[in-house]
Amino acid sequence: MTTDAAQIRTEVPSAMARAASGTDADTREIDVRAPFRHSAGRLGSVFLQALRARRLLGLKIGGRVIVPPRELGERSEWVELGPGARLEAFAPADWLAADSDNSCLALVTVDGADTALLTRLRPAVVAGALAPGARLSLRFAEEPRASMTDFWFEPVGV
Amino acid sequence: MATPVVIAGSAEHVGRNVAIDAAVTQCVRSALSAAGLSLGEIDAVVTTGSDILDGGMVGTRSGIAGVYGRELIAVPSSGGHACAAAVSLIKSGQARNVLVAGWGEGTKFSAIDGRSVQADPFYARPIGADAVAMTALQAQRLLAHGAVTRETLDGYGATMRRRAGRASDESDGMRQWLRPLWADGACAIVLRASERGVRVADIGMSFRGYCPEPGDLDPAAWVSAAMANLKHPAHDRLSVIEACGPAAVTEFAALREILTCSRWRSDDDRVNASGGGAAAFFGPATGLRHIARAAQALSGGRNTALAIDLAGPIGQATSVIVLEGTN
Repeated sequence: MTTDAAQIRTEVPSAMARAASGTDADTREIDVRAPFRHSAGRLGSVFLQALRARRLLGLKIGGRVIVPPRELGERSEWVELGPGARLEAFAPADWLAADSDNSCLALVTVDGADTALLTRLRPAVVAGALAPGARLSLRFAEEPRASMTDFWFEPVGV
Repeated sequence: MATPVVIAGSAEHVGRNVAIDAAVTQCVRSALSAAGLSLGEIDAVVTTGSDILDGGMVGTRSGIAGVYGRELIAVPSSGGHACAAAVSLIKSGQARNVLVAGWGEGTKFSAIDGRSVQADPFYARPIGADAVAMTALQAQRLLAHGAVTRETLDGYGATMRRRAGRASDESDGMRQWLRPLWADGACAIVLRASERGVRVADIGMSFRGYCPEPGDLDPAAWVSAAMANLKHPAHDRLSVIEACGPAAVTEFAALREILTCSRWRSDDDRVNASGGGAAAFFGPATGLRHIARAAQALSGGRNTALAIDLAGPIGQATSVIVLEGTN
């Protein structure tokens, strides 16, 4: 974070703020908005860039294939996953506010992986519509942007 | 023999739109008064507040809690972990009297898009994996596997709201157990090296990352892992159980690990007499309130209590704390 990037707004103390504090103490309200720069890391960058080529990669490490990749400091190799997958759980669309892209959050185990992946299920489904273990298929966006939103899973044979 | 640590005093101040600075002050004064101590007799302070929304206020509020001139440990993860740090200070001989103060402005969580506070910008945030969506994912799996029934969850949620005095809030059945009932609040506990009082007998903890594997979605597994770290199993001798999680479904699913022999009943006031997280969930510090409540219940003549702290929507920081009355 750089100092000049931060926007700091300071308001003068008000009778309302003092009353809200429940004490006679003087108060100030500040609103700080600061940008943060995150790094995907060495492995995460490979994983995300592979999405541009419509490839979902897992990391084979210690006898397991994990996705997304985690830096465990051991010898590892990349393996391609999918396109099939198994549904583990999902956030039913009728329980939450509707998403604009007709999808819902899901946890799936992609074929070839030993760990489950948080992803999107499309179309959004309501509670009871799909059972754990349902088969899914991987789909990619027409113009991938190296993001987790580049791909989603669809039910097979529904 | 290890130094016995007791909860010598506690206080809480919770509600909606509470002025946190004033609440911290009030709680610290009241807890010290209950313990019969002055601030000058406190050797160290442990504070706990959400590192996401309250992080920028840790310095200020730790000052309000009385940290100046004393050792400070700031624990963002949970009230249970803060309590464990305080107990360690006493057992190691580094302090005799420790003040633990926690706070949180949970109403801020409900006022903003949860995704805007996700620290993970690559894997969780872009796909909308906020706290409520993760809880829904967890609940769907529990229901689909028959681990809990919708009727039981409806009953548990309604009971907790009634005990918390919030029965009129959002009467829709599912919302009673799926969504957090955010509140603002503060709590303070004074721990002492002493033979007399409610003793912190044992603490077990478990941790996990935000990206879950399927089995990790069951809170009973989090509690099981934490219970396995207790030195002395406590299942069979509990007279008080206080559990708090961000949503009632999380709490109830966790309680299944403890109540396998006796199913939960709505008239069982041994479990969450205070209403659990429905009473006031103000973020990771909330567990402190339930440790205090469990200790107060033991002061009423019961023998052994378990406080279960389920901080984080998928059990990132789970603590089980066994308290024993010595009277």
